[in-house]
Amino acid sequence: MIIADTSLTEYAIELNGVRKAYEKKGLKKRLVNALTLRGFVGEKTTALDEASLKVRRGEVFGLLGPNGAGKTTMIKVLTTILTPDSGTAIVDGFNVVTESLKVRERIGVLYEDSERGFGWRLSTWTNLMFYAREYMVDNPRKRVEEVLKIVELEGEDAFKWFQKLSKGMKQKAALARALIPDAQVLFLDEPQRSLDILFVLRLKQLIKEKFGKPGRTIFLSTHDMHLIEETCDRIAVIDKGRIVKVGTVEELKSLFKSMKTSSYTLEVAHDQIRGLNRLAEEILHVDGVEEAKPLDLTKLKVGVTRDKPDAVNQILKTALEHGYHVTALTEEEISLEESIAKILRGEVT
Amino acid sequence: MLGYLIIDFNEWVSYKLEISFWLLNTLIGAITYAYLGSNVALQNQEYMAQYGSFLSFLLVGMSFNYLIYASLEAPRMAINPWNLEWNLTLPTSLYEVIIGSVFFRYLVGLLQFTLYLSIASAFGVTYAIDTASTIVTIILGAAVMWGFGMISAGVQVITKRWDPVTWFFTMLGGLLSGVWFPYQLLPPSLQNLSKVMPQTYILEMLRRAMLRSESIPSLWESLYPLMITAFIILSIGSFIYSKSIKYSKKYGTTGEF
Repeated sequence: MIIADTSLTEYAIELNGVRKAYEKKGLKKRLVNALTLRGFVGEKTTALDEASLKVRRGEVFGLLGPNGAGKTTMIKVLTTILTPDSGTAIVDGFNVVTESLKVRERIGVLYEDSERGFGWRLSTWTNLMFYAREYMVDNPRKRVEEVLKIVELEGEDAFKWFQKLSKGMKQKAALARALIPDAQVLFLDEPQRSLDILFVLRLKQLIKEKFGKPGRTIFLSTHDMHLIEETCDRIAVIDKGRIVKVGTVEELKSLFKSMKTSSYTLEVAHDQIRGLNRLAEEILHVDGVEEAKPLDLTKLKVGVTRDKPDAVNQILKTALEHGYHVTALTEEEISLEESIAKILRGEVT
Repeated sequence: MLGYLIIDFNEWVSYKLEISFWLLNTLIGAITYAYLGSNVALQNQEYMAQYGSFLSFLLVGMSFNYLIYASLEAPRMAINPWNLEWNLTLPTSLYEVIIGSVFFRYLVGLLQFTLYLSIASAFGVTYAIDTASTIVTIILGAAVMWGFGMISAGVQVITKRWDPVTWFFTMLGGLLSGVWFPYQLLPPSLQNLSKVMPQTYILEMLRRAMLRSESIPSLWESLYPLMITAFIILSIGSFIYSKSIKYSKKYGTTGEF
C-alpha cells in the first residue's frame, strides 16, 4: 500500500467521481429479492452522482445545495462513516476507505445531528474529557478548558448534565467536541444551528480565523447564505448529488453578467392621478425592455436585455418626457442567495 | 389519552419481529416458572445433594446469568445507533471501542455475581470452591458468550432492534440450560436442545468448580471443548460484527434506529 506524503499534496480534500446510492427498500425486501433469485438488490436513490471537487489546504470551503442534494452524504463519506460505491475520496492525503484510521486521526467533525454521541446524564466537561482521551490529546484537561473557552461554555454550564443544556448550548458543546483534536481538517455541518445571534457573529469570526490555526482547512455545509458569504474562500453548489458549480462568492455572483437580462428599479415621485401603470406601458415600448411592472406607488421593476445598452437611457428619457420626476434608477445587485437559486433552477450555465 | 395510545401502538407495531418474540417470551417465561414451581424432583434432596442444595444450585445459576447477560449485551450497547457514528469517527479501531465499552459492564456483572453469592452465604448457603477452575470457567464462559454477543450486535446493526441471538440465550437459555433447575429434568426432546447450548456446559462446569471443588484436571474433559468453542465463537462473532459495520457503512444505516 502506498501511503501518501501529506506534505506533498496541495489539496486537503479530493473527491474523484464519488458515487453513493441508497437502497429505497429495506433489508427485508432485498432478502425477498435474493430468495426469489432476483439478486440482493433493490431500487436505489442516488445521493452522490460522480461528485468531484478539490479543496485546497487552509481554505474555508462552503457546500451549498437544497435539501436532499447530497451534502450530508458527502460529509459522511469524507469522515469515513459511509463507504462510497465508487470513486475515491482523499482527506489530508489519505484514502477514506483504505486508510480510514489515518483520516480519523486528522479530522474534527460536527455533524448535523450533533447531540448524538453525548452522554445526556453526564456534564459537557465529562463528555469532552472522554473525547479528549480518545483523541489522545497531550493534556486533555487543558484542551477541554481551551475549547470550552472558544465556544463560551465555561463555568457552571460546563458542569451541568448535558440534557439540562439548551439547544444552543448543546450545539456549542458539539462544536467544542469537533475542536478537541485540534485537527488539520474540520468538517462543520450546519454549525450555526440553534445558536443565538451574538454567537453566530462570533462563529463567523472563529471560522474566518480557522479557530486559531491558520493552516486549518474548514469544510462547511450550511443553508445560511450569510455564513457562507462572509466566511468561505470558495463555494461548491451541489444538486441531486452532482457538483454543479464551484467558485468564489464573487465568481458565482458574476455568473449573472452572462445572463440575457438585467433588472433595474426605477423610482419616481408619487403621482396621485396617473399612478405607475401608464408609465409601465410606455416603457414597454422601449427597444430592449422585456418587462416593466409597478412594485408599489413609486417604484417600477424593469427588465432590460443586456445587448441593448442604450435601453437604460431610453427608459429615463421616456419617464421624463411623460412628466414623471425620476428620483433614482438602480441596477439590482444579485444576492448570493438568488445566484444559488438561479444556478439550481438551471437559469445560469 | 387516545393520541398517546395510538402513537405508542403505532411505534410498537413498527417493530414487527419484536412483537412476535415479545409474545413468545411471555409464554416461555410463564412455562419456566410453572415448571420450577410444580416439579417435585426439584424438592428431591437426594438429586440435589451432589450440588449441596437446591438453593446453592439455583444461586450459582442465577448469579452467573448476570455475567452471561453482560457478555451478550455489552457488544450491542457499544454500537447502539446513538453512539455508533461517533464511535466510528474516533481515531481508534473498532475492537478498541468494543473492548473499552464492555469493560465496565463486565465489572458490574462480576459485582452482581459476587454480591449474589455473598448474600446467599450470609443466609447459610455453603460453597466448595476451587479458585483456579472457577476463574478459568468464568473467563472461558464469558468469552463464549461474548462471541455470541458480537454475533447478536452484528445482527442488531442490521435489524435495528430485535436480534435472535440474545433472545435465544437469555430467554430460551433460562429454560433449557440449567439456570433454574438441572436440564436433565426436562423432557428428553428439550434435553437435546439443552445439549447444543454452550451455557449448559458452562453452568455445569461452574457448579462443579464452585459447589464440588473440582480442579482443572478433573474438569479438563469439559474445559478443552469449551476452549475450542470459545475460539470458534469469538472468531465468528468478530467476523460478523465487522461485516455488519461494513454493511451499515455501505447502506448508510449507522445512525438509524
